Amino acid sequence: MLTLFTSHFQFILSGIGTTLFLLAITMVVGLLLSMCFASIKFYQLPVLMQMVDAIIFVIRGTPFLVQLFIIYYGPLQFSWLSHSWLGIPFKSAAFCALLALILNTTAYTSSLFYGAMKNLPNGELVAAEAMGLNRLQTLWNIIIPRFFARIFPVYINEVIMVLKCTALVSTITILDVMGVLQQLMVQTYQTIPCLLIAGVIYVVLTVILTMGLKFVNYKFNR
Amino acid sequence: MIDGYYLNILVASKTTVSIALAALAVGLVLALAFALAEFGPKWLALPVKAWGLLIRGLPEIFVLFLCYYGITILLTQVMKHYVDVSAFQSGVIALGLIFSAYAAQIFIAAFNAIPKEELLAGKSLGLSSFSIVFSIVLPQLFRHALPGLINLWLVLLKDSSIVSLIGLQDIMNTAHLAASETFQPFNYYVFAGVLYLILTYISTFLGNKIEKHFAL
Repeated sequence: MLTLFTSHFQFILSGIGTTLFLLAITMVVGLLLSMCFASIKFYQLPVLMQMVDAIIFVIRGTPFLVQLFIIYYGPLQFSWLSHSWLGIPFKSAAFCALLALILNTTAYTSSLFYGAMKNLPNGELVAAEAMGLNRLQTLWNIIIPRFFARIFPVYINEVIMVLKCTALVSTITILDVMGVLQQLMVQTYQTIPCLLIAGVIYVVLTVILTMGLKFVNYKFNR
Repeated sequence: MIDGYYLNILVASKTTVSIALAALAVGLVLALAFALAEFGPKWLALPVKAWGLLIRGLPEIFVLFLCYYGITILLTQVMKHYVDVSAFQSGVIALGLIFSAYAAQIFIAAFNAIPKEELLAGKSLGLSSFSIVFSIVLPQLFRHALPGLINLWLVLLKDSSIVSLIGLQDIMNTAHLAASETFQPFNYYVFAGVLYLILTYISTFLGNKIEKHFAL
């Protein structure tokens, strides 16, 4: 197992890089998008709110694998789409994987965020209104900072969930940790050692991420 | 527009539901055992806790692959002849293990929610520990754990789609087959998604009914 690891070290390292890249982009974009979704629900904007609710319902009700395959394979069916410039991004597996991951995490976190926003102490919002702050100022100065302190411990779980989800993008030919080791499995016929290496990498990533984020949380709430 | 492939996918939802139900049964038994072990002596509680953390930190697809390839190799070496573990069996084991790691936590939280005075009251009434468990602990445990378990069932139902990757012909696998034969991936994957949506919707509906029925 160790020789397998050392002899394919660079290949495995590139897999870890891909996984972390997917995770980072998904978390950043997903965070922004779920803030938007949660704000839309919080201020009960017409039409947009119904759209957000529909998206959340569909994504939370279907497996990630289905979403991934619809996004990656789906557009191929329509020749007008795949021949126009709109179809170009869907030809890249990385783009499709990111799109699916972002949509998925957004659907789960936005209801989490919405719940936290709804339960903010009402007195502070009234005070902000009395001070003459407009909606955007209230959002930026009162709601967001208070809300992050509240949300962060739960958000750590979501990061781990997304990390686990990224393992599934190996099914659409992306060489992340799982993809790299599946490839090695086929090349070397050493099924179990390859799988175990993947497992160890995921455990190490999970432990490092959890500990790092808990440290950030501790600093944040000091 | 409607052809036999849709029917195939519809029929395959039986496989999805049955693997999820089998994993639920395995997972509930394992979860109760794990939860009990975590209340047990330290030499038992610590490894069980570590095992739960490990499973919860690993991707579902990894656990599935390890069960699928690993159990066959392990059993073959132990039994000294080739043992075939079917995709269904390893899928049930993998999904059951994942389910149990999360459900054990729910059971522990539910147990902690039971007032300890009730156990003492049972003891002072002279009930045996067997009847304390069966008439005081378990009914309440079930009620406290129910909302969490229903959530986990939904997760399990959706996670069961990964068994398509080891060749079990569930909704996802059949949709994949139809998509690659007809070059109409969008139609079939969306149909698969709609089926999952219907399954989760029915589960939520039934779950709410059960929760209301058992509510205190």
